[in-house]
Amino acid sequence: MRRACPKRSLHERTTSRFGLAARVPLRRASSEHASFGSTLLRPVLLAIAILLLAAAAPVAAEPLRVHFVDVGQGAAVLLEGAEGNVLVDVGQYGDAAAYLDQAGIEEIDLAIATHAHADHIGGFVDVFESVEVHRIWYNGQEHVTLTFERFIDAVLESEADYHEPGRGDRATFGELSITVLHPEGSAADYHGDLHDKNIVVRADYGDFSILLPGDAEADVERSLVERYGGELDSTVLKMGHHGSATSSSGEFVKAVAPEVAVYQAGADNRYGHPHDEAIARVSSAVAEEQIYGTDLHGTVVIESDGTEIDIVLETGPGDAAPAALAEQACIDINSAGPEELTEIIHIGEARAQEIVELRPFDSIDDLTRVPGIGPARLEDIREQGLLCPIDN
Amino acid sequence: MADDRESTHEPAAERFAVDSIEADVALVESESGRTFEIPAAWLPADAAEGRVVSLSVQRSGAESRLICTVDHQATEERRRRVRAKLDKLRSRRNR
Repeated sequence: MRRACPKRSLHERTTSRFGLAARVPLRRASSEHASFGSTLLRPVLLAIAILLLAAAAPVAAEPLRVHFVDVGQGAAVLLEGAEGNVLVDVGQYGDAAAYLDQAGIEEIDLAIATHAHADHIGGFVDVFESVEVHRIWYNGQEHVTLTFERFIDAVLESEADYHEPGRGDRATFGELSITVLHPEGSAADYHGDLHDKNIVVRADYGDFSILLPGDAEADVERSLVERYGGELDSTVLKMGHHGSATSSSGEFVKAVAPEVAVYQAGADNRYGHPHDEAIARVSSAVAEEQIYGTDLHGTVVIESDGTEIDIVLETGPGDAAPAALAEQACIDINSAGPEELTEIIHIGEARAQEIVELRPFDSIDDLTRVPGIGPARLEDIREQGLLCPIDN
Repeated sequence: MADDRESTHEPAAERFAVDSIEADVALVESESGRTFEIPAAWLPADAAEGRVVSLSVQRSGAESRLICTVDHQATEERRRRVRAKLDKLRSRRNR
């Protein structure tokens, strides 16, 4: 399902809520792509390869933007394409609808409710009220919560086409195609765990691809590996089940071989997401600094024209502010309150309290005195650019 | 205040739908639609996601106990209601 990307380059753009921005080059393509590049160098194949690549990997005029919307402890992914918008889950509350509103999105061509848990479908009531949804896919499994019933009521009250998709179903919007990998068909008669029949989709846009497993767990991942093997290979993996240890199994991660991974979890959530085991397994394929989470980075947006990707962190429509305000907005590590400190990457409530207790700090490097902050996280903090300079 | 009546059950005060159980955390939803994360150990052993549990107070002499049981009737009623709505959606799909 995936073609190698001949000229992929990745960039990261970190944008604070006050509009501070920096662009940092990420690592080059994976070994698979390096190998493909070597093939291109063979003189006999060079001309043919160029022609094939020109036909196979068109650069889109408008990039695809994949928004991993920060909805707290839940999941919501918007694929914003030039010829269609696809929304995969919406979190539990009104955050997704508010985000769509801010982004100026008025129509959703395809909405997918991966399964019936509240943290994935609860926000649909607000979404249906605020935008026009043309088509919705749901697996058909029954659930007993009012949250679920209100979701179904919202679909009934809408004009959206309803479909219970199965493996191989596909929707295309220009260059963007959405393919269902799981389940095999409607789960209307299934009464087991709601995660078992979670809809898993893969999106392709030129040579860019993203795997969205929802809350699929290891059993489903195993069946996907058995069925698709290396065809699962994708540019981006959204880590299943909010980065839970129940998902992102080793064989699955190996088959997907992502270059970037993203999980969606609320800061300091009660489930402990993301779990260290899952992060460790994904780290076997992806450099740890290329694993992004909405708990740490807020909304994560990945843009791709089909040949390269940009990653934009902590972004949101209309969040830019005048530069003067940005300058005033830096966080003084020696005086800021614990709540303000949690705006710093890798700083949750517990570490914020540690920082308060360990003051004063003589330099930003001095933050390594805080348990859990090593050189790598210190570098992330520097790159985020939120801290005020420390005068000695 | 102590009550010296015989052991009695108060009418069920509240029902909660179990949305999910993960490890030791259960997400339950009240009849007003509010959700709460609670320790899964608070639920009866036969509770599972997709079931409705009822909370009732059992009084025995001076003591009161909070009883949590799976409400099979309420569970089935909810399922039936949702099934009808899903069937309506499916029929609309084919219109």
